[in-house]
Amino acid sequence: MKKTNITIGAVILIFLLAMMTVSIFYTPYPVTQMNIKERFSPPSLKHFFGTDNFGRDILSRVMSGSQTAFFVGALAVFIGLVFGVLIGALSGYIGGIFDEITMRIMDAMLAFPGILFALMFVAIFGVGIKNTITAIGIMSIPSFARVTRSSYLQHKEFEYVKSAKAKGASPLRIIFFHILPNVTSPIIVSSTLGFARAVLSEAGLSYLGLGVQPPYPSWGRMLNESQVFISIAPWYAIAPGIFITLLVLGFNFLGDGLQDLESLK
Amino acid sequence: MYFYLKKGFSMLITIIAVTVITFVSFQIIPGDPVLSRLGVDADQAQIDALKEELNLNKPLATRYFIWLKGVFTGDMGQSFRYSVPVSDLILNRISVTFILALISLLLIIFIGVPLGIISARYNNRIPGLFISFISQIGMAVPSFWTGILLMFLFGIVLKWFAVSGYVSWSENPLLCIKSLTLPAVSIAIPNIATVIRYMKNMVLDEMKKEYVKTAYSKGLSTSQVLSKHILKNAIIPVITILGMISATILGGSIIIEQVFSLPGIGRLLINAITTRDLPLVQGIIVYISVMIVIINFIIDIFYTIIDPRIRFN
Amino acid sequence: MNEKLFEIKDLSISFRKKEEQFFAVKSVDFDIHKGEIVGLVGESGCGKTLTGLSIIGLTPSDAIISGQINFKGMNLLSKNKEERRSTRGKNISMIFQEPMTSLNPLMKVGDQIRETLLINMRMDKFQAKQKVYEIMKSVGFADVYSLYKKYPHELSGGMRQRVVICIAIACNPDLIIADEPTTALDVTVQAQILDLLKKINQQTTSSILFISHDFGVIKEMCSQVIVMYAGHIVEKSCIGRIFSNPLHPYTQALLKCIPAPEKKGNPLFSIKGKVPSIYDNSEGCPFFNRCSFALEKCRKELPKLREYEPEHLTRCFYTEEKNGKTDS
Repeated sequence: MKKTNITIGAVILIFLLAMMTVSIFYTPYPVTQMNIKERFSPPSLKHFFGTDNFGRDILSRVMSGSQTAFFVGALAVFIGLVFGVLIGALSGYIGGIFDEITMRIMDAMLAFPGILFALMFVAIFGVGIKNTITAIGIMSIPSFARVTRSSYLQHKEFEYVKSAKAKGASPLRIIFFHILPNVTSPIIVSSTLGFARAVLSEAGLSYLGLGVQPPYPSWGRMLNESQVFISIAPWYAIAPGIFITLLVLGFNFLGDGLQDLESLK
Repeated sequence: MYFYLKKGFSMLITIIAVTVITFVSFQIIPGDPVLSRLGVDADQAQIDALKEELNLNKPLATRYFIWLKGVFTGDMGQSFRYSVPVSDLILNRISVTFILALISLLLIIFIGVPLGIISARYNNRIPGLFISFISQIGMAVPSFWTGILLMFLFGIVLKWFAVSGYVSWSENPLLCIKSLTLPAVSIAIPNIATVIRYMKNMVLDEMKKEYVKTAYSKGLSTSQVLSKHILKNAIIPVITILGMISATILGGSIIIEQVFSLPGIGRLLINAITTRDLPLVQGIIVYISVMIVIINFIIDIFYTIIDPRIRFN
Repeated sequence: MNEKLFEIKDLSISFRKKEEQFFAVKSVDFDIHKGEIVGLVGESGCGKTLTGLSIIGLTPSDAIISGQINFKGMNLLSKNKEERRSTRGKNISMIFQEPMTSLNPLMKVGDQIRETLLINMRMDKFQAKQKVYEIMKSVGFADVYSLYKKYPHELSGGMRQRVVICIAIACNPDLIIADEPTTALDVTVQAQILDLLKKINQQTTSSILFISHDFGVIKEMCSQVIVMYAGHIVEKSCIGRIFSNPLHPYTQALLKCIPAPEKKGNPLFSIKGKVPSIYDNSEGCPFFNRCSFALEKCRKELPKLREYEPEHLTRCFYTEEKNGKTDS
């Protein structure tokens, strides 16, 4: 049962990654090519997901949208990971007042609805792909911090840490050289689940028009565009949504499967 | 008694922290607020007048307290765009968001909790696996997409619901609820999935405990053990995630109000951001944040009422 | 001898893992008479708890049970779930090992005792409550009126175990299965609980199946003793004979383990080796690799249970040879 989760997740992600890679070099039609004569065509052999209001091929747009989804997700998770692990490791290892205050802040950030923070960020600093990545990245920091911190709290009592201390290793060395390699699995799990959340956040922000702006493609923004034409071209709304769901499902299954593996140890 | 005072004090500190953070965040905005409002051609007199009005000449701390006082008295300055006190704008919209959030919450609790228990009871059997599978999907589907699809299916195709338009409670309670049904369902679905998962894990954990064996040994049936013993114990941790869920409901309503064009606070916020109406944005964020803090506080208190172990410590 | 209440015949409990079947309890036979305290003794993992659970019907859902558990002539194993459930609490009750967690932390202790009355007896809530006060007094609780309203975390371990005992005796069951009821308690409290159980047995004639790994406690309580090892019964007898004439090498070793004032100054005896795991399907006597008297045939053949004195049986080739009772 546990292995199933990982397999399903991996299959979905590999498929989507493949699609993204292909889209860099090839899409059935150029993404921006408009063909007014063929606007609002329903799905057919010619246009697998139909065409939008400008006659653009939806499949091609969706394929290139995957680039944004992966790119934003990966970078946001990266930011969250780097800072989150750093904060969590220091907090967990050093403890004391530093830990107390830091965790208070992290808890406050977690209690806040993510989207509200992203909106505030965008309100202050403006929209666009860079700010979207930064906002989502910052939003991801607390969960990485928490997970890392509890791992460090656990590991700092283990024998190998004590023997490293006895050898005279400096705290920084212990934190990054000794403990860190041993706590990678929960961090990996957090990364997969964080990626899923990041994809949803980017889609949401872009839907609101406050995320990724043209010319960068975005599934979320496509959904916004499609809404106006829902009665004329319902298929326009279906494709981007399916792919957002698939990508999130993929990461969720993978993350769950990895988490189950973890708990079996 | 001391316990409640401590909690209340802690809540106050959090609220103050929230206001400070919000205030400070908006002071670091790139660009000059005066020039962006008056335009580059404004003359010095206009600039000075506006600066005076916005208290920009006073030190930071003073500006904070002036603003804070405004938050409490409801005077947060004029909204740039509407030229109406920010508090008026917010109050008008709050009831919409509130009712929407309430309906969503009820859906989440009354669908999520039972399904979670069922999924635990039939764990590894067909009903349980089925529920787990749909809840995985429920968590992955973006709520705004669900909103669009529901609107299409039930509003346009089946014509059971109006596509947009909000009927206020005072006008017609039933129609009000009807106009909020599809939005509430959209918000509820991912949260229901979360609650199902959580509830299932809690119930499964409880089922392994010793007191459950004692209950069975008295001759109780599985349903009786679940309802009379396990439920109460499993629900308590779920109450803790109620806090998190309230936050996601509020967050979800921001997007969903946009999908269904509902005149709530969320839509107001989006408009404010899009038009760079910063006093309004600031005001809304403070209100929503304080609401969340208060909700968490109420949940904490509720928690102590339910669990006698905490009460007596 | 009193009437025979329970007759367990050829009881086997096994689990399936990856196409193979592993036996935790192997062909167990014994009887419990009215008013008797029967001791089931053995190290952890020998199958004694599972045996107890199978009588009350609370074995894990993946357990495969065969044989007969005859209660007043009826085979409980042939009954359906509802019929089994009707015996729980009313005819058979159980006391578990961990008093700290055996009670629902969110329910008043009095209500938890009352619950078993409400399910199994025809009483209304008020009558049941009065009965609960009676029961609580009978186990030695002082201020029952305020104790009723307390929550488990307000009680000590010994008090909680008394509450569990109240639950077990509430409906005057034919059999109380006590699974290591005192193992998790302090020594002083242990003595109180054991005395209480003895008193209950004398006053109500409820039989007790007392499961323990501690032969010293068994000696205190039981009239009949069954020794289990690796799922088998290796010796069965009344309490007097098992102490005066332990036949099975395992029983002898167990008895040597009991600390006693006379042994003071000498190192505590412990049996070398470990109990075989459930996955160990080897033939022959399970005690073979820990037995000081092992013969060659013990490796390959499982000895049968044979009677050496009235009502005193054991399964051991060495004992057979010593007493001239070999297979013909």
